[in-house]
Amino acid sequence: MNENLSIRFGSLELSNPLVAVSGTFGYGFDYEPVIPPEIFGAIVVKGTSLEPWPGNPPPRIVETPAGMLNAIGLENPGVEVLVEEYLPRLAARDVRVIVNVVGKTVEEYVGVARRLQGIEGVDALELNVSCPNVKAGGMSFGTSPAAIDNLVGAVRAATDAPLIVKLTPNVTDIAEVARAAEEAGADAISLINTLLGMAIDVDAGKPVLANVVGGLSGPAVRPVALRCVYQVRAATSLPILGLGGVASAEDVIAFIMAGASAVGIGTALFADPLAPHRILSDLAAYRARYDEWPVGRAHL
Amino acid sequence: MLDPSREGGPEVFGARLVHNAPEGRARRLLLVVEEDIAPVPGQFLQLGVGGGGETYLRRPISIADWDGARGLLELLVLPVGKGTGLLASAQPGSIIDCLGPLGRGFDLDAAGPIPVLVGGGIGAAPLVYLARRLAERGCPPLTFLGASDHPGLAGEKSLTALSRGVVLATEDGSRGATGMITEVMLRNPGELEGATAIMACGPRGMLAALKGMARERGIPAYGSLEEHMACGVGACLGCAVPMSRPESGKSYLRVCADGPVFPLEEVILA
Repeated sequence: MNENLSIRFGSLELSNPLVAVSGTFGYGFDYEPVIPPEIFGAIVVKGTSLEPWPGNPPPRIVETPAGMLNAIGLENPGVEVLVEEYLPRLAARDVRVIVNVVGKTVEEYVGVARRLQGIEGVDALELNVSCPNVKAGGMSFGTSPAAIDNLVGAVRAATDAPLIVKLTPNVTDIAEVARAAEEAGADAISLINTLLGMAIDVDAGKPVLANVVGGLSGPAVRPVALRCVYQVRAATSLPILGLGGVASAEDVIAFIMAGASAVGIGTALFADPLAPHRILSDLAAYRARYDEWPVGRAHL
Repeated sequence: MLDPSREGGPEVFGARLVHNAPEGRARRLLLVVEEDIAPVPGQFLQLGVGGGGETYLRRPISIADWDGARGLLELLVLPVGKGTGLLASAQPGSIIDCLGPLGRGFDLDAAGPIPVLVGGGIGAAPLVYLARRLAERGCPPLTFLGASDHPGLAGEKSLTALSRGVVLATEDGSRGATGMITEVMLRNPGELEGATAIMACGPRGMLAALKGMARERGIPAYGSLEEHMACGVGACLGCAVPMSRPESGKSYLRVCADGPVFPLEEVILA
């Protein structure tokens, strides 16, 4: 990988700013050989719970203008399968791995963090307090500064790993939530998770998704994500993993200028699996314009 | 059992459209492919359809036929929405953006000497390539094709040439016997005498009826499922189908990566 694309994201040195985001890249291997996991600065593996979660009934996805809604419901085989099956395979590869952690209760989040404590190949944890598609936990933690404080504090005490808190845009004041995460001991913020939305099948006269509502992602959400990154950068000093609708190198630079020092790509992989290759190639030209990555440059 | 998916995984390639002609209500697309994609029957491609933001995701389309010697790929596309509408109206000379081949196809070794193929509507598409490969192995299938009406039938000409016999049915009686294809099969039970496997693609209701028929006869039945997809490679878990026998917290399979072809006993089709 091109060395001059490297960037510091908190305590992690990434080979480049591009990160495959949780829920869009499985455990790193589904897109091989089209997208080898090594091309990313880091990958965030699927949201992982203490016990297996079955996920929501179908239909789980629907296309929307410049994006899609999903209501997967955090289907995952649980932390034990992650540790036994996927992390050893990832440890054999030259890629930084961030584990997205989910739970219905504080104790479940803490349980996952404890199980991952000291496991080889886990570079950071990303606390998912922002999934709109599960009935308990998820977004209910991320919309309340008090709940964030309680959860982040408890997980902080259970792990030495860098702790990233992934925020939802479905709040009135995202800066307030980010400050709560910072005060509770988070090492970094990632944002945004999906925007709550829905679609209706007018022929059937009912919602398209079995879960009724789902999370909107794709280029449609990019301006919202950029705004959130900008606001959180202004409100905290934590490093930011910015994501939401990123599909080009220009998008990556825009998120960096808004304040991100790592930039996620997700839904764009579905539309164009060659997008990461193209972005990294184009990023080299952007990088050459600057002495250092222009993190936060757009702040006046 | 051999893993009926392609070794080496999918690739991204451009295929040049050289022919686009009607086949009933569907379009028959012929494309030239430089890469040796060597698909398994039942596998599919994720096709970029252009069209800007209104059609952001790719469209999963079955491989209807593949001529490796000439690098010729055949697709049958029924225009049902914006994305398939764009594909169906693509002009010869244009390059179609393809990801694939994807998924687990039909297991040819499970077909036995007397395979029965059943296609419903545009679901006949993957059966053409399946019938070709079965015929090459000396086991040409007996094929049942059904649709709502004559323009809804797909693949009739190719499947007639590749099968030991073809039974046609339309619900309005405009071609072949009158009724749903599964009703016609039930009315003529002798046709299934000696069948070693059922391999099918079509609406879920048709597959559910076949599941019951195969169970009564004690023969294996395999069906290719259709589902909306985002990634197409198994990463996003968007195309879930419920498992008949959930196990240790796992209740769903992925149509794109665990299928699209499943033993019908393994999935809930209702």
